[in-house]
Amino acid sequence: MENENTVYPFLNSDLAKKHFADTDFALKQGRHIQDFGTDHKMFVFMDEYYERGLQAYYEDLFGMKLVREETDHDRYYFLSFPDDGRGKLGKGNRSKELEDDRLIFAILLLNLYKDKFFEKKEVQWQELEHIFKESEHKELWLQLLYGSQKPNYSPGEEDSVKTKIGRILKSFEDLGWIYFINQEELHFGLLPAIDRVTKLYGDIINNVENLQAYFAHEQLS
Amino acid sequence: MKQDILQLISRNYKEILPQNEQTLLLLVWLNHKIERGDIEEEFTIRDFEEAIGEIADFLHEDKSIQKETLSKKISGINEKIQLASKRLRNLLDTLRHKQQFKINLEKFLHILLINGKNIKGEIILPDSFPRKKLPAEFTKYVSIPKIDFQLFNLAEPERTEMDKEYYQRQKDKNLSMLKIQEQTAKWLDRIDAEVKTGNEVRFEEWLDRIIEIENNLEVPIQVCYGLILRTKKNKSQELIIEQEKLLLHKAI
Repeated sequence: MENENTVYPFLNSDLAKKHFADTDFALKQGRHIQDFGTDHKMFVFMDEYYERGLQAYYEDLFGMKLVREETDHDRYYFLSFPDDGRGKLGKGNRSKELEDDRLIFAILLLNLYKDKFFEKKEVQWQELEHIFKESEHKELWLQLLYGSQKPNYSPGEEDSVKTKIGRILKSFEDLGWIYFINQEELHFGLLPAIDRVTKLYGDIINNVENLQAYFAHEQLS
Repeated sequence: MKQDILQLISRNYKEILPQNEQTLLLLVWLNHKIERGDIEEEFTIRDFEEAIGEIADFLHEDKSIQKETLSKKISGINEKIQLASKRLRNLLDTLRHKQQFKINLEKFLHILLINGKNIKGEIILPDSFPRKKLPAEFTKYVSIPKIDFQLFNLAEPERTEMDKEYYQRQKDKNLSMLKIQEQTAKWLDRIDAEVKTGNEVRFEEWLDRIIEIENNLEVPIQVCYGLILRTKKNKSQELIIEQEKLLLHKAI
């Protein structure tokens, strides 16, 4: 066929006609694609063509790394910035920092994911509430979430915190890190792609002692 | 990871565990003797042979046959143990790494909680904290509206149909009220001028004149009310209201 693309063979496929556009939009919006729910078709397409031009396409034309990761035998895909630059998505408004509140909750959820090694990876609002109000670090959690430590909080304060956490969880759903079982009640499941946080902050987590020393020094000075 | 561990454990147990009761019993018995301190952990051939004898006695079997068979089996088990140990060592290293990572992860969360602040409802970390970026390209396609100027309507409100009769009635009513106010003002000025000359004004007399000229009871009432208000404000004027007793005569 005269129009056949040999550099990026995936472009010739029927699967690309059906799923490439959706996959491309999702990846550029920061989504992690895994074999789950509505992402299944995109996942199948990526799995099929990852080494048949798809990876090269993002590297050659966008300067971005299309990464295939695996955790607990579950594969997932995402776009990552190259080690030596920012690629085409590092310019302008094409990328954004993971906000501070989202980072804290991402680390919390990653912890829960690791804790639930032999369990169903589901989290209910009551479990989160228990962490905030009964756990070892409850004082820190309460101060951070409510802005003050009190024995009881008004229904308005409780609603405000729950709404805020609901928004954070929604952004994680958009990233493909969790899925909602009941969004209103903040009942959700943790997806393998939450492990991306390990890759994203791996350098800091593996050298956490340095970070601790750095902050201790900063507080003194 | 979970699957790895389960597979490895099941595979190694299968390989390590002897497939007959005599060998299994011998291993248990040797272990028991070591724990009890009867023999050393690195036991001698003599200890081993004694243990075989004891097991054979226990099972009421021929010692010479047992000794040879068990020796072969134990040697086979030893090889398998070596292989399984290597695998388990690797697994242990992986688990140690994972465990260390989990500890670090918990420390990291603790550091974030200590250094995070709630400022006006926003959770903020120190500026110096290293932040990571994610792709977030949300393509927006602006749709330009297509206007058909032939169907273009001026943005003027639609006029409601007028009820001419109602309109006239309202107009007459308002004019009549306006006239009453005008006439009231005129009469008040005239009475005021009279008062200023220092004369006593008997409103009773004025009342009759106003009714006669205006042919409307509303005007004298408004004038009376106006006079009361004016007199109250002006301390040089005095208002006297006479009260009359009305006698009712019973018809006899």
